Amino acid sequence: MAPLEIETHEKQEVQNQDKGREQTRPGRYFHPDVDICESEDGLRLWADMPGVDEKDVEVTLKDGMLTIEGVVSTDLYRNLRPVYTEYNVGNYYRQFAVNEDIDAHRIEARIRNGVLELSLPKAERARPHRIEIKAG
Amino acid sequence: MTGDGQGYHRRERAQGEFTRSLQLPDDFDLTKAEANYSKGMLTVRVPKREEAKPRPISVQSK
Repeated sequence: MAPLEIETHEKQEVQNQDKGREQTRPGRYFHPDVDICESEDGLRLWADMPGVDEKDVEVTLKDGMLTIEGVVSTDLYRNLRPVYTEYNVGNYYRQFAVNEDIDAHRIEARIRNGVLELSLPKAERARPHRIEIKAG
Repeated sequence: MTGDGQGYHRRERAQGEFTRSLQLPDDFDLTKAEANYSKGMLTVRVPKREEAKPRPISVQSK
């Protein structure tokens, strides 16, 4: 079977003038690509952050703003002279305004194969309720 | 798996298979190549052939 033609696009670098951006560490930052979907129970988010270890990822939800940050180790590249660079090694940073009423205490985060998976359950009062209709 | 049948707010991540081919100069010994996949990153190391490595030439004075 012929391999699929894959659409590629360049990683988008975080610009310093990005609103709310705080440069906490040196190095380049990129916007991770994300999928976000919503169900009755809450939001789920997947972010591509290759090279990031679980101990180097930070997820915060404050005042309706979800922030994800991942730091990559550059140990692998130490003492190497670049010949061709296309991938661009760097950290990841992205913020989202979350309008849904999220139960911050039940947020779950894990990183597998460089993909951050977030589960943001809606607060009980924000879930749709089915109202029982009584006969009579 | 990325939540099928649910409402997407954003869908940016690439799905599918990945393929890429690169041509390397003859200086590299592909029979000694090593590959590692970790944290979503594939690293391939291809050593240089012994005869392609720079060799110091000792200069003798008479």
